[in-house]
Amino acid sequence: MTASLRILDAGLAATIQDSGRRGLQRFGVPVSGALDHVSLRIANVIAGNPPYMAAIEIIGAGLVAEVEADSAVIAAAGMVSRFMVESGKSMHVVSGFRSFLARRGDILKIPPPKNGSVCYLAVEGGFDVAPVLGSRSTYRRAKIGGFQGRTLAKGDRLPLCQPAAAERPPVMLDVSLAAPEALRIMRGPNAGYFTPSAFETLLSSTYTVSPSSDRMGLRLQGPALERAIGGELPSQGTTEGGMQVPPDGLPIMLLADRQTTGGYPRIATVIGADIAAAGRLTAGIAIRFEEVTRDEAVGLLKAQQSWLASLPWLLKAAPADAVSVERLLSNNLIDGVTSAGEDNP
Amino acid sequence: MPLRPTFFDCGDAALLVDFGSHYDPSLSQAILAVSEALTCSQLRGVNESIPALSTLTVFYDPLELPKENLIAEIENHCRSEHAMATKPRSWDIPVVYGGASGPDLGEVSERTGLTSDAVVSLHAGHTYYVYMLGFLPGFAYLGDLPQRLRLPRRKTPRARVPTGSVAIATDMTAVYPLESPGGWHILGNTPVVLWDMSRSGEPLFRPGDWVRFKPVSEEEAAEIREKSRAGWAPEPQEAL
Repeated sequence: MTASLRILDAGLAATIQDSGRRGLQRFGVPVSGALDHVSLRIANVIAGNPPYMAAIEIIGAGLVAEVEADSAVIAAAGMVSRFMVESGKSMHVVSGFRSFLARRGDILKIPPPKNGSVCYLAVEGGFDVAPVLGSRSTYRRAKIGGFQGRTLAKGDRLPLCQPAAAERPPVMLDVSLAAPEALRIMRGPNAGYFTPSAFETLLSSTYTVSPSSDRMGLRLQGPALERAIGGELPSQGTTEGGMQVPPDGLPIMLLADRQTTGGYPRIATVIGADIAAAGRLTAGIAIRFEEVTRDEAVGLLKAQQSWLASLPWLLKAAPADAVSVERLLSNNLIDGVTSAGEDNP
Repeated sequence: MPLRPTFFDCGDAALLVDFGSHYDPSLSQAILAVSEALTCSQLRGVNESIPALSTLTVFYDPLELPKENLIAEIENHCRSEHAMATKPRSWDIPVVYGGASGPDLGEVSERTGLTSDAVVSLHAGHTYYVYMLGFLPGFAYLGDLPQRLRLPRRKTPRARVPTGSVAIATDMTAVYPLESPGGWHILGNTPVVLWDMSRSGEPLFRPGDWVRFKPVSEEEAAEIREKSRAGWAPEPQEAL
């Protein structure tokens, strides 16, 4: 019998993502991959996986899935403080950032990600989906990667690599993640196309994430950034975190599914250490920008990488009270789990 | 001629190597040669690069490779001979022009003051250079479009441009490798598969290749489409 995770409610835009498709940008292939690579990595470390194994990225709304394997170690990380596991007549409330040994028939109910847009559900051993061009990341426009190259849908059976999990005590990580209030930026490669005051405007204003944002980029609403030189540039390579400015003057921050090339000038670039935090932003969130030097950015990246590398050593035994058993299935904790159509405020 | 690029940071892990705002095939070939040399140099910390019209964007790991070393390496390659190791190829691509395959042929003919036949023979009578790939996987920017066919992009982009659409805008022409939104003027459609990502690790056109379009009938296209479904792909010729 093949082991799988059956999707009962796919929410809004859940996809399978790993660290992305690298090395083919010269052929126009977007990198894709997790919007928040830090949370993906944390979920995998807790589930006992290599850091960037493919997991389910949950955006905007929750996810409900049934375990169709003898047992499976699962972990949720990102903008999730707890989730529910319906096991027969009882309901477990499981903290995020903690492993849980689920049994056949258990129903996982991941609530909509809080105060941000994204969380990850990792399963020990990973999902048995074929890599396309070196990655299991879903890239919807080309319908490649992940599960059939698309967002997950009700009824999907995601095959699992492991039919059963070894019994072992649960583990947890003492971390908490938040949607950022400010992102650190460096002056962009085409900053010279803007008036000198445009960069000051970017640094002194608060922008709001527009609802028309997606995995390609965050559209920001706020003061327009004025150009000194008009027109488009000859198309050039784009980078993650690049803040391109179309003619309306409102910046678009490029994210995981960004096109590899573009002709809009880029006034700034979000630094590498803040890319994962940028991926946690969602519609309606206010965001500011702070300028740092390249040396500072590299220092911050180094600190982040060594922290990420140390995560497996920070794992500790999870206390039993991190799981509480609720007898009442009507408990209001499950409210909102399936509110796929509603906007997250 | 030695290249004298300027360097701009794209954050802490990428570098925009800017060769100016003018572009032509010989500059592009030099950029491709630098890009290739960089890949072959096996400099630790260089991850990948995107050659574009007049720029090269290099992705690197700043914790492994100091920016100064990367710049020195690139400048070094810019000083040497700009010969590409990869042989450019040339492609003949069959196209059904006009009708349902090319919904904008009429408008292009009106706006350029040329007959539809003249638009087709101008478009198919020119050999195009593959400057770069971008926008979509396998979407090649082919230039330079004959002067008389140059039009700005459509005011309102189409939400869905079908796979295989052969289109023009400004000084470029291109084939849409998959269905997507798009603002270019569609002259025709090719049955040739530009990139079957489940079968091949590379797209049909590589930067540096040359492309010609050949008008074909609906019937010929249907045959090619049938063959393509079974995995057939056109054979390139070695470009001179």
